[in-house]
Amino acid sequence: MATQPTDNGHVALELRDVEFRYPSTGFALSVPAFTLGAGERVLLRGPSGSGKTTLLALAAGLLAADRGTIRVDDRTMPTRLAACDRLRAETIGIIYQQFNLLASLDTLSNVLLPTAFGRRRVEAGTAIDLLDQLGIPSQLHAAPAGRLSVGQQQRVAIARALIGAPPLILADEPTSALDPDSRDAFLEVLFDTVAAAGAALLLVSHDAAISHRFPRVHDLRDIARTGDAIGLVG
Amino acid sequence: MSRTRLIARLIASSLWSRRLAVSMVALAVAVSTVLLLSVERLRTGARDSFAATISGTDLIVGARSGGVQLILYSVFRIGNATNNISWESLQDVAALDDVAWVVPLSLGDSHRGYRVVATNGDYFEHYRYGRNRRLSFENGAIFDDLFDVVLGAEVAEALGYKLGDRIVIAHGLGEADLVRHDDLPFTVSGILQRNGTPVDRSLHISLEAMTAIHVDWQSGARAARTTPADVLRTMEEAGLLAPDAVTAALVGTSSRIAVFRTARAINDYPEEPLLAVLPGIALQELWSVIGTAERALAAISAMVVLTAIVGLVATILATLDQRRREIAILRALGARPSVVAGLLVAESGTIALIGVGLGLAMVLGSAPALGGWLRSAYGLDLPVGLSLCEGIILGSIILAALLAGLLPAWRAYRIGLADRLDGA
Repeated sequence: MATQPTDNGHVALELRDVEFRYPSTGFALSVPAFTLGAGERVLLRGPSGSGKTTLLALAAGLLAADRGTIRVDDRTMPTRLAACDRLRAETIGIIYQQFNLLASLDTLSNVLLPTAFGRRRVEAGTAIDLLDQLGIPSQLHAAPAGRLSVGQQQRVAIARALIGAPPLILADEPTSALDPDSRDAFLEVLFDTVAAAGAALLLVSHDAAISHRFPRVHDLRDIARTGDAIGLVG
Repeated sequence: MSRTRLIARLIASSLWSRRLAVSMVALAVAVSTVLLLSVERLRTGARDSFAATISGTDLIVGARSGGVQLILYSVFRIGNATNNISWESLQDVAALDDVAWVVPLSLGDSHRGYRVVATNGDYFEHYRYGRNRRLSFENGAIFDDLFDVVLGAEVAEALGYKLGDRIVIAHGLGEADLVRHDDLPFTVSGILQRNGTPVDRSLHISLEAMTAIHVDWQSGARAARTTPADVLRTMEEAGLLAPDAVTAALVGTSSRIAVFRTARAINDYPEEPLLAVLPGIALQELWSVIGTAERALAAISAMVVLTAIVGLVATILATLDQRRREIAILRALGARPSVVAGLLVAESGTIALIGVGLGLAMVLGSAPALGGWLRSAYGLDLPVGLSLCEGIILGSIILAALLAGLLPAWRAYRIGLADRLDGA
């Protein structure tokens, strides 16, 4: 099964015997074991609708597993969903396909927002440096995020995920809507900033063309059983 | 950037993104605040003005009846006295140790529906209203000749009288002026400034004039003979027109502590059943009777505020569905359900705060212009600043909005974590 020992033994993300089923649709996911070491960069592939986002949501504490253990940054994710907020805020940065910025909120505040909910407090200067590093002009820092171009929004979403230096970054199909040039440019920026922050990256995508950019690639089917018909223990 | 500042920016940007709807709701809150504050201010002003219809007078004395009735006919010119008090008794009252002044009032005649008050020059000296304001003349002066009359502002304005005009007083009360003292017309010698009290609706003549126009009357009917005006003037100079009785009297005492002692002395007067009432107490008693309308008005205003707050909640609830994604983003970033709920409550409070602030600015901004007009037209003195009671009212509106915000907050609390984010 697709587990990977880490260089220093520190685990950014670990799923063990995790099982989950959507009560409404019956779609189920079972992950016997998956580990992401600190600072690792992993691509999780799979076709659309295969359960990649579900796995990501379980890892982020956005869905509560029916069984099993999820650990982030060596801390166990609570089984009660409402109790996951603090751990998620402190340890996980998420980048969505649609970026999910708050369109009416200014760019700088969008980046800093996770620090209002529990992530390590940083000065505004840190966020400005991060935006500069990502190539967002300073005159756009006060502009509502909804006025930025798609490319700029992508980079702001990266900055928001990295602010406060969370040890784990989860990215859900962030390149799916991009042309190849834009996609490569985005990944370049993402890898550089994640590496600079020392965070681990788990990126899920159905795009096989980006596999060569990752040192470690898994197909979802290698690490999990999914579908309506799989039998779960619980 | 501090957490508080970030949250404040989040609330501000969220409100700004829905600025049209938010403006409308804030305006509704502002209008209801204006209404509630205005009613409260008018209510307070009316009560204060009512209480200040007469000030500076320590006691009102009349024939023994009820305190409310006495103040109704002597001050508000409403209704009639059941009996008069004799002139001798009034002289005895005036002779009491603690009595500083006595202003006799004789009522009973009228002019085109307006009451005629017979009194003496001391009336214009001692009658006070509002915050110890004296009567002042718009034109002319107090009666000099026996057949001079001083008009209240409303009488002069409504009937179009000016100085020098001659008017005829009718015997008794009523619009029709069926029995008139047309053989003895009066000349307008003065017109008082408008003060918003019943004085505006009164005509003032001297006590001697009141006696003079009734010299030829016996048992309420005019005798066949008519005494000429010049003869009556001569009788006045000879002191022959002193009244036998008056309807009531305003009494001032030498000190505040002497008021109760004097009242007791008058109420225990052995020669004639008299009643002395403290104007403040009688007015309070009267206000408690007529104050029901005031309470109803306050209740209507409260309903208007309630409507505005319901509108506020409805607006937030209506937009909540569109904001599920925004809420889900906040939750994904680590915002606890209670934090999201708190944001909604804070939004509600912010809208209320804007509305209340706007309403307060409108009320205080218009106060200087409206205050002068209300004072001259209705004798209402509106408060200048913000009273504690008004502060409590405004605080209650904001508190009610915060509480009302709990409903959308509760719904937001229940919005799922992965709701409306990139799915599947």
